[in-house]
Amino acid sequence: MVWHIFKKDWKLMWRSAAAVVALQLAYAFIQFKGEFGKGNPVLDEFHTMLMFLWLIAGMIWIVMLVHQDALPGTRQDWLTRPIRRTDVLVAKVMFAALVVQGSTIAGDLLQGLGSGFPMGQSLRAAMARAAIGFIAITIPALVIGALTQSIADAMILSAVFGFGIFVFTLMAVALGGGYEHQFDPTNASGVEWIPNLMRFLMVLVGGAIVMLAQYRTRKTFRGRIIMAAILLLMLCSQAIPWKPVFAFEKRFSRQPGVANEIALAWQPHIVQAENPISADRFEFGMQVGNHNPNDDVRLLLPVSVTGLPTDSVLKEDNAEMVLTDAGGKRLYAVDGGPIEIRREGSQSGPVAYDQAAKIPVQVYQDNKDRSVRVETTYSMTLFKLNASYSMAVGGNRLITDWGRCESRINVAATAVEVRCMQMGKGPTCATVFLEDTRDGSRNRPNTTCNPNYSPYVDRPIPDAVSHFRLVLPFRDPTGQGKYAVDGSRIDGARIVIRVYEPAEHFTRAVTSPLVILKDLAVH
Amino acid sequence: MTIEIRELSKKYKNHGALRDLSLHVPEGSAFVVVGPNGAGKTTMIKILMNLLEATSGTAEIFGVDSRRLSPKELAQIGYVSENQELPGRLTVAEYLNYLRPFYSQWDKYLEAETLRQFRLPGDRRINELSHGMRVKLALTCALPYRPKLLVLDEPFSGLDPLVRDELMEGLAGYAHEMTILMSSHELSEVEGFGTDVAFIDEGKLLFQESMEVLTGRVQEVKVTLDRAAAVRRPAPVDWIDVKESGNVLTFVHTQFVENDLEAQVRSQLDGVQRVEVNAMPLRTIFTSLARATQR
Repeated sequence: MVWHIFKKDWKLMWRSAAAVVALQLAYAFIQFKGEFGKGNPVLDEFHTMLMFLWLIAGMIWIVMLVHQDALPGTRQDWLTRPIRRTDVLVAKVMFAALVVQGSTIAGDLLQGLGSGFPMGQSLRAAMARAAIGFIAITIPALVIGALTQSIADAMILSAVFGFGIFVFTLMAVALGGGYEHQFDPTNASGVEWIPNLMRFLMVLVGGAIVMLAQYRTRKTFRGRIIMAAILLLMLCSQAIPWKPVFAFEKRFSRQPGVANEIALAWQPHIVQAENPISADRFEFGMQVGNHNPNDDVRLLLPVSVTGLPTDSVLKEDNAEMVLTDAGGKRLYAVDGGPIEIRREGSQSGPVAYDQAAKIPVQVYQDNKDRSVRVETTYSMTLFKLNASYSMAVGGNRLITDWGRCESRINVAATAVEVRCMQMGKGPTCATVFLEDTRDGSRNRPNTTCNPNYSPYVDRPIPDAVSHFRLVLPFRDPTGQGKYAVDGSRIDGARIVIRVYEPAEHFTRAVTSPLVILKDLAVH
Repeated sequence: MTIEIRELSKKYKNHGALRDLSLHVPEGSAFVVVGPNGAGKTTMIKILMNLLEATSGTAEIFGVDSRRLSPKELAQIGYVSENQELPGRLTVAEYLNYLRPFYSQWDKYLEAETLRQFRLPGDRRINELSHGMRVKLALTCALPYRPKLLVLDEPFSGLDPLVRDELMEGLAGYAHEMTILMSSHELSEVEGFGTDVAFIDEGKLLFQESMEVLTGRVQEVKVTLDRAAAVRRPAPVDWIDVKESGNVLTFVHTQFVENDLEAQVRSQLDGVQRVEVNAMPLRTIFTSLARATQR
């Protein structure tokens, strides 16, 4: 009877279903037409709005679909009919997936095939995104629909859970130290996909349990309690410490042992300012408390790296730093900021850099004259050159690993804009530079190296396409900047794209000797 | 028994909607459950249909616990309620088309006949139908598969007399084929319809018996005396609604037995000249019993 129930729902909801599909296709079409810089900012805003509109409309539509045969309540005619509830559930899941996931697959295929990607690649990417979307969008909406009787009821339930999430996060961040990353250490890191995968599994299993139980017993209150428990478990999963997650990631190293030669050591430099300095820890998300990061004292810890292979990029994923006194007593723990070290061509010798970290001013004042030891545990990833491609300035090329790329000189004629798109998960690390084909001279490379080690596109929105955009300047309008390949040589120049892939994830520890804390501080 | 309810209780916070209610509906009967608004009739029926969960006790249909009613049992039960939620955006014909495949016994001829009898427009959307038409549709959706049990929860509530008569007529034609359980707070609606009756008040069953026995055992008695009427106190417990007016005393006898009456009356009253017995309409029986219970 699944098909029979499906047809009944189709009769009732095909118009609204068509509207949801149309929103996704409109989004995909605008995205497709606006790619490679042909779009304008207004269009960009519009298609972002369309994407969110589709997301909200899709979820509301699923809730409405489930409400056609609502479970809570005592007045529904269908509950007194010889209709198998599992048949109803299967029909709802099928229809929801057809409309919501079907529309994303259609939209992604439109973009992929329209951009010249092969059918197989486009379909694989579209299906992978649809699978994630099914777990992240469709299942939660089906669960909300199964636990409510009307849209108003669903809104209230969602608002209650939303408020619960907010309060939990606020409390967790406050208890964790004031910053979101302290509570959720893997957030926005390359290994975030691991806890995300765990959460996806929780939604999949938890959602199936809630729906099956609700369709079987109609114990709505119990269903809501189970849903709240799963939500709580998901929220708590943010507190998974960094070390076990990175240890799991290490198992996925493609070339284990390739980083064996890399060593990090404490090595004071003669002139700190000449060496690269890591960025400060990027704080984002929720912050609780009166702590003002501008009042923090910045420490610079001199480090040297040896054993870097040629044509590689060393990316720091995390640096856990612990300050102890001479007796080994722990004074403070902080995460250092990220650094990226490139080694291109036949350079050799150690690379020196300063590891930055910020500590609260009070911690500094209390300990500035003390001898301290800094123990840093680095989680790192070595990227190795995978392939090198070139394309003409103003050209358009489909590159196997990198995707479809197009370049153009910007309106001010100061830089070349390179835009690439790849169906599915594309490479996340590359250096791109301008090279004069006549004498081989080249400009300073521009790098995009976003650590994301997920083996698949692990987001349900906006689409199954990975986008990259880089700007390669060749002329400084102020006349101060000088380029080997400048405006006069741009006609004979080509764009070189060097794609790096993560080869090994590894950890290293660096321990400083005893130093006076104030000697490390930069004011 | 088609329906067997044992010590059924339902509590809403501190309010007990049903209190240890036990009831049985014999097969083939037209069983009427009456009681004032809020007595617990609808709660009992919703538990019976597994729409509501009981706090304690059990309710069985065809020997199956109502919490475990499967499509097999539901295919033999018709359910009509005054406030049933039907898929409003489907037309009458579309809804019947949807329901048909779920019932192996569906009689299309009977469906057409019922549609014609109730003058239901097949092309009209359900949410465009009046309340009366919707109840007719609910009944139309409950009859064509010839259920063994038809459960009607206040089906005539809010209907004008014309529609009510139409529905009663419609029902009367099939009553002999099935067991019917009907709840109502309006006695005039069910007079002459039921074979058995139960009276529920404040979640408790006050009595249940066949209509014939009830109307036989509850009679109005009028006693003419040769002096001013004065019944000995306390009056027998089965005498209710006792009224004295001059030398005439009237009361409702709730355990009337013709042969014993004369002796019982004379043992309670002096100067008895004449004893008259009058049959009571159902409505009067219930109001008398209800009043007596409330006291």
